[in-house]
Amino acid sequence: MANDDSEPDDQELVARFRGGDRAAFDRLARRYQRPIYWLALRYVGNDADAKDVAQRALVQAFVKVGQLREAASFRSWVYRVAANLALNLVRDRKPQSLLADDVAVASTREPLVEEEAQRRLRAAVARLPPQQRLVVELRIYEELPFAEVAQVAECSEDSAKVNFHHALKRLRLLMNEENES
Amino acid sequence: MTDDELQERLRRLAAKPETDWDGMAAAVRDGYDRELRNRHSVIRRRRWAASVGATLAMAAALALWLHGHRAHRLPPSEPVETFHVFEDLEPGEMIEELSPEQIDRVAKAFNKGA
Repeated sequence: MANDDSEPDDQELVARFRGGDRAAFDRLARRYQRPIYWLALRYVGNDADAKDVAQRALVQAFVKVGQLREAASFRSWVYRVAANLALNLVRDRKPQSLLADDVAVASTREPLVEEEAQRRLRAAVARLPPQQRLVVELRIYEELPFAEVAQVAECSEDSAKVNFHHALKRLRLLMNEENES
Repeated sequence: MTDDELQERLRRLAAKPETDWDGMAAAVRDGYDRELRNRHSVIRRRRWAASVGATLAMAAALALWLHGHRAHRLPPSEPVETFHVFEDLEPGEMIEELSPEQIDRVAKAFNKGA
């Protein structure tokens, strides 16, 4: 991921980190802690668990960076570790509110109807099958290209596209169901 | 609702709250160091166990080898004290060495055999 002239890309930082450069480690950690934390937060719904997942994901990614065949795919690698950890955590615990009040994004000035629609959409996203949800998370929120979404979701690019298409279709269905009920 | 509208709605759900990023970076650093220490300790323990195992295996192999070697060199089943050592005496000298009672026994045995 090339950022600008002054910012080394992932490939270079991973190579430097493998060579023992701790500064490269810090730069990679700071580069990915935000998106990883936000991804985890959308899954687990609270700040403490999201922080825990993000930290563990980064630590695991760094510890196992030797297994990474292509240093350039560090981003996909760390997203995959984080998504797996978040999914495991959600699977292992009882269902709870989708997003805690402190992280809910709907503005208080937003009209109530609109707020309710967004709440329903958030609930519908949480009801998607894991693979479809992951594809939506990565495509919509992280804005990853389908090729990279496929790497994280461990499927082909075509399969990622199909999953995304099915996810949107399902979301519309779920929203309609709620409208009718 | 079209796909584009739905995607736009989904984007508006994206929560990106700020948190203590410095604290998180420090926690990641600490977690990584702790993980490395744990791994080194596990590796040390495995090496120690491997060296103890290798020593035991060598000792067992040596014990087995010695046992086999000694068994191979043991004399046949007859006890040592039943051997008669004549110290290369000639048959005549052998008879001279015998007492009259022994000569009688040998003669009787010879006659029986004949």
